[in-house]
Amino acid sequence: MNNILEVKNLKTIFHTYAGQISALNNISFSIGQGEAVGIVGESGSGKSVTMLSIIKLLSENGRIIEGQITFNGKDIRNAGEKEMQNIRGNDIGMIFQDPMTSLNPLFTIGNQLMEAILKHNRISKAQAKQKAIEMLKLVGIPSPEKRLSQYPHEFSGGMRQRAMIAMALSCEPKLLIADEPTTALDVTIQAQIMELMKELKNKINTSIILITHDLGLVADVCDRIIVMYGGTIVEQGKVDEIFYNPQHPYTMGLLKSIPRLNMGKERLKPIDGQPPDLIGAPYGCPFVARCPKAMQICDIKKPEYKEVGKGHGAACWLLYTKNRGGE
Amino acid sequence: MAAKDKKILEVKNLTKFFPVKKDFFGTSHSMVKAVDNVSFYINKGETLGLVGESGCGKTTTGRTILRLHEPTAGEIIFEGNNITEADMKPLRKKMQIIFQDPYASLNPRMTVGDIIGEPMEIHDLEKGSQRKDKIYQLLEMVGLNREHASRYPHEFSGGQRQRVGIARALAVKPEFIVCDEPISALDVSIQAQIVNMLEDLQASLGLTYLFIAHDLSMVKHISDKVGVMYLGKLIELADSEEIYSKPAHPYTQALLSSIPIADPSESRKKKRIILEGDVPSPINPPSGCRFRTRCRYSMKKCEELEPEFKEISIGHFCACHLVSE
Repeated sequence: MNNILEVKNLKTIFHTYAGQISALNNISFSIGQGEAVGIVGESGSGKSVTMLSIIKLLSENGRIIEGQITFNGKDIRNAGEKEMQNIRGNDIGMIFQDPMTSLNPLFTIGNQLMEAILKHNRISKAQAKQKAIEMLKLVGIPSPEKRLSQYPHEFSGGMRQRAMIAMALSCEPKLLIADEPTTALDVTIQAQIMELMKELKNKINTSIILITHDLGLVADVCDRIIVMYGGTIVEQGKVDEIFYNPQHPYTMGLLKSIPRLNMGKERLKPIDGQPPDLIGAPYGCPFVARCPKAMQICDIKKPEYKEVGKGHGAACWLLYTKNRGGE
Repeated sequence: MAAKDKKILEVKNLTKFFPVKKDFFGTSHSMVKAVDNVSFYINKGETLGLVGESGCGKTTTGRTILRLHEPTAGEIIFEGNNITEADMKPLRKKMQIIFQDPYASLNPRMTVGDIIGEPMEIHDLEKGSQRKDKIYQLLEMVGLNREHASRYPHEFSGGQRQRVGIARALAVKPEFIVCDEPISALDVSIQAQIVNMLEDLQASLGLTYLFIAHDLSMVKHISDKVGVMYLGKLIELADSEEIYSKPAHPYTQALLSSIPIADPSESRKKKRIILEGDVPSPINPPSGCRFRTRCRYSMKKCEELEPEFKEISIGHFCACHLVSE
């Protein structure tokens, strides 16, 4: 499998009044062709910053200070704005969290859809319109001809998110990045959107990065999972490996803290404490303050990522101690 | 558990319409039927979960019970007294609410100590140093410490703020608390902390909860009974085990099947019922059964006749023509 995206040792920082925030610390991962990868983590864990670093839409106080981003065989870390404009929307499609704010209320849905299509393809307006209708049909919006001339406020939340997906897919991107695409939607609508994404993955073989905090969603849609905490990747592996053989205490804690429908009334096991503050230079493991298995070394030195099987690994000192008693 | 079987709260045919689209003269011609003829009761010490999609009226139900909205029709009976028209001030000591958004529900200009002390001020409870002690005690009860009393809300994380909101609700020693999506705004690893705390408080203080949420797995976990709402109607109500193992209404079935399961092999096995379309507007809901536009089993009868909310087995209520036959 060829990798469509490769990220190596990525470091992103933000300058704020309170000090420098290390939002990403040495992130490395890759996405294969036609693969769906879920990035899971709490707010502030760096999932969205990862995506924004890749597509170079970081806010002004954010900067990539180290690392490589290779997309489709080409290094795009130092790509200029012009080059990125050709990539965004064309090779990389994006779906943002809030469908209410990511569409322009002053333009019709058709107008916004066709803008993306016309920008990246040399086709006539009539052809672009045809394509736009096709896309709306693909994402399951009824009577697309009529819908094209409507404004975003005439669409419901689920419909808007579908329109966003249509827009993101209109140029048949090689990679689709969806940042919490269903968080603002209801569960029945969420199920519709997820079904649609799975279908599209099979139909046009797009690679998908699904950023979410919902472990249920990744279990359903993704092939692989990347677990992030405090700006680092603490574990990654195939879906089954992460769910049935987690290596990092954070992943274990996360899996235990969510209630399941088939579970009885037993008490939930939360992870104690609060997510870390990323201000200042990080040293030690970011999870150390909340880790039930923390050792002395965890406070002093940051654990390196270590593979435990093919494509499955975690960044935890426990993996370096020889006789770590079972789970 | 014997004392449990006492109704603490009962609502009968609760209805709340909001007027919309006022014309030039300020009279309005259409109504949002936010809550329409909803009846249920909660026993003392129990938790009733209320679930449904956004706009189904679950929050309005919670707020109308506390008379934060005046009901359009129906009765609210609390501890045997009809409170539909009563003066609420003395009752607010017994009925409290925890809000969804811990960022919006705390006054940024007040210290946490003042926020928790305010309900006592209003209700003239505990004065002077006694009040201070009570505030400290409440802070410790919700897992914060007394040093936090002099801090401001912005110094706290979301989970901690929600704890402050809970401490404020507990300040007047309430018996009944409406929890309006208390965990939706929190991170996954923090949600479990808050839910465990709510359960502990319920056990030690004998609280009764109306727990409103859209996270069905969390609702199942915390509730004794679960009610499902759709477009202002209560469509199914049963014990939480029962509703999850034997959902009767097609909407409940679809809702349950669309929850993503955090278990890949279960998730692969599961057959999903994907509902078509969106929730219709509550201003002009469909005739007959409100769910019929999205229902797979929709029949002619559903269009003509509104299904009755009937008991189909002991303690299991459902409003659907399919099951009432």
